[in-house]
Amino acid sequence: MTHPSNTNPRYLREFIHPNLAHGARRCGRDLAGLERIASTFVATGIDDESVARERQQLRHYLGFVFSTRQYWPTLELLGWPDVGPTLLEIARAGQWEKMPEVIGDDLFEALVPCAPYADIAPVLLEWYGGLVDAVTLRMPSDPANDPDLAAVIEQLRAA
Amino acid sequence: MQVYASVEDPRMPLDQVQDFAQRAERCRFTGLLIPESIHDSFMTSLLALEHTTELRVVTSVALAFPRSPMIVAYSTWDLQAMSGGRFGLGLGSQVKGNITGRFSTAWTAPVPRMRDYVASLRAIWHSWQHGAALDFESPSYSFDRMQPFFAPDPLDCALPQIFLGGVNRNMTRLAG
Repeated sequence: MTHPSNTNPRYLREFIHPNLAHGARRCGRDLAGLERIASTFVATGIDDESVARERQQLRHYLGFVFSTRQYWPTLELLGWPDVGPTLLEIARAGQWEKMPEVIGDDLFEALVPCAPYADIAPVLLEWYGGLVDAVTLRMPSDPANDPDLAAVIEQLRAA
Repeated sequence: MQVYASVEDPRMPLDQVQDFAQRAERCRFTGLLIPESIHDSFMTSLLALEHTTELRVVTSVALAFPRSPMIVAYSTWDLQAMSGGRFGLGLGSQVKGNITGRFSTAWTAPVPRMRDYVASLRAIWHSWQHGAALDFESPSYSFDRMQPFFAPDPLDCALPQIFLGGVNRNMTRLAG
């Protein structure tokens, strides 16, 4: 079960899998015997406006999460080693409102799949297909959009 | 690919869990991941399982070290039994400051302790499932007393699945 901060496909492929496999080998098992749940951050919603809202919320959350040193490995792997220490300094200064601006668009899009419900299933399959057994999605803030999310879930579970 | 619903608001009042879990089930999610921040994740899990029929419910993650493995073994057994096998136990170590300062429990090296924790759970469950004597010893936890009065009945379903949170190298290897 991964942490949302460290669920980038490259991190899964280059770090999580080799270490899971290492541990499994020591017990005479292999990855096939494990269920891997990726706690994914996904910016999605009924339309582009909803996706933009999700992006802004997640940018705040990522800024907060990556102020914690233990979650820096993905930033370092992806080539943003200065982001974590910068966020830590901001946290120590109590300037929480400055955190989101440290997460630039390039970094955000390296960490978070983004697309409306109509397009998100193939995006998630491209990011995570074959790498994990399960991903996570948030429930819509408006229950009226549940059927649209249900259609996404149906596509993913059929894949 | 399976799809779990994450609880967006970890502060969700417990009286809203029923509706949330039922919505997730209607959306055909595989399961629901239950966080642990201001609620006991086993209480939240109980509500979600009680009001659904197919949804899996997995703690994501329950804090291990402030609780004796025996306490977690009982909670997990109950949830698995009452739901017909729909519960999954996700366990996490948290960090030193929270374990000592927030929970007033001792902090020791988390990876070997978690290894002993999981082995303890398996030993306790084995004892209950097979009516065997409980005799488990490890550097972190030891269990050697389980009178029949305190042993729950065997499960009619599979034993609970255990998940570990994986971020750093050694905990990820332990998860494997």
